[in-house]
Amino acid sequence: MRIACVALMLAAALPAFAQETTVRIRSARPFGYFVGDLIHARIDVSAPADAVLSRASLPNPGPLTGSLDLRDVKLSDSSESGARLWRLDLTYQNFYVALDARDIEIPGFELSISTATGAQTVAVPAWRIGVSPLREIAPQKQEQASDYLRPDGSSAFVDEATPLNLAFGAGAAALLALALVARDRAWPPFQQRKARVFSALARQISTRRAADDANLAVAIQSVHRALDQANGAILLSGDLPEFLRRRPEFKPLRADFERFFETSKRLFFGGESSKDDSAAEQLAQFVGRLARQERAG
Amino acid sequence: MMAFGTRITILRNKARALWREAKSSILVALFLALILTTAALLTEWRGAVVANDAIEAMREGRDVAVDANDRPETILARVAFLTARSEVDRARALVETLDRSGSIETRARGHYLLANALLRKAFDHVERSQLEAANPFVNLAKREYRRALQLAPDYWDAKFNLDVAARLVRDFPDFERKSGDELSADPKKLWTDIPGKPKGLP
Repeated sequence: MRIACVALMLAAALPAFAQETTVRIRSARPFGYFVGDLIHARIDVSAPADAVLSRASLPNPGPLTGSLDLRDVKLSDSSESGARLWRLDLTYQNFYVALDARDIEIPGFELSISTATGAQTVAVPAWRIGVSPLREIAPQKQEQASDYLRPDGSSAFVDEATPLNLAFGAGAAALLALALVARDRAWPPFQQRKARVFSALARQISTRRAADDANLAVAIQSVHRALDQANGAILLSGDLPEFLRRRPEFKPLRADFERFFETSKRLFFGGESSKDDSAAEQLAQFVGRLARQERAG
Repeated sequence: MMAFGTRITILRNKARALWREAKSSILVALFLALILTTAALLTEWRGAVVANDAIEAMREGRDVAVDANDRPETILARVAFLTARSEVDRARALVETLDRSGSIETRARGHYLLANALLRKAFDHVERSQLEAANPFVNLAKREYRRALQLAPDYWDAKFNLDVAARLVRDFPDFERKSGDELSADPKKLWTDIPGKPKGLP
């Protein structure tokens, strides 16, 4: 609500409390209201610090006169340098049909407050706003009486496009979900999907390394098991050429394979320590490459 | 005390395990939910198409039966159909139905259409010089315009037509109560712009 600080009037209430209780009415503009326009008014009431405002004395929304409605009443209260400040935001609606620009009266009302010295009544005085006409006093002569009216206008249609587009979107998402379910359960056409032995292994090894309980011997053993699984039978270094012929996607890794078998042999039969960081790193890289070739293959 | 990174890793692994366990059921549930959403949206779209067919028919002047469960837009189209044919009473019943179900704009428009129909009836009476009979229709129209404006304060067509109606029959009692001098100034002007003033009078 844009209440410009146009003070409409500054009314000191009853003389007895002139120093203590003041009422100030402000409105966004005090002129230029057409029929049906909303009139926003802000009424600031300041009172002694110990005063209590009776909520029941606030004006009630509803028709005030034949041509004025009170639509909304909002109260906020605050304390300011030893004084109570009540701020009433009132919204009126003007139904006065003006023939010329003129002032109409917004009726005043009374608020009850109670202080230490007893109950008091604060009068919010009536104030005036200027209303304006919408039409000439004597409009141009029309053929028919109903030509003086604004037309009925045509009926609006219901929005069809939004639900249809949303339905398409949801349908596409459902198909995607169905595809995911099919893939998850290896339904056709996903039944051919091969187990990703090395991907699983790479994940497992990196997890173990991060958890810092890497044991080279255990890791090498698990790589052996994975290789066996990929081969379909136990894979020894002698079977390597045969294996690479059957799984050509692993051919580029021949050197890595040979180094792996070498390390394995040294560890299990050469009596080397199983705490070897560079060997563990090499192993992790080897498995990572295996996984990559497996995905590519 | 465990390193922070390690704990994060363990947590991540737990989450991964949980996801692997629940993945299948989550995917199935997602699929079913999306299927249901699609079905609901298609039903909604179907309803909109049916409603638009009815609105189109009424725009072209064919009457379509409407009941209270129909969409507010359809009811409003029927109000427009009835008010265009001066069937004020049947339109009023539908406007009351709209008041229970429609959006603010729809309701405001319903009251506006009804008020227009009432005011046109009043004009008919004025043109036949039945000023007494016109009076209640003007007052009813003013009430409906006011209702429309209470719902939608920026409804300019309603403001304009309320102005027309209010100049036909002024609200005198209010003036008398508030300020006497305004009353004496007005009546002369008041009747000068009755649109349906019988021709030939000064």
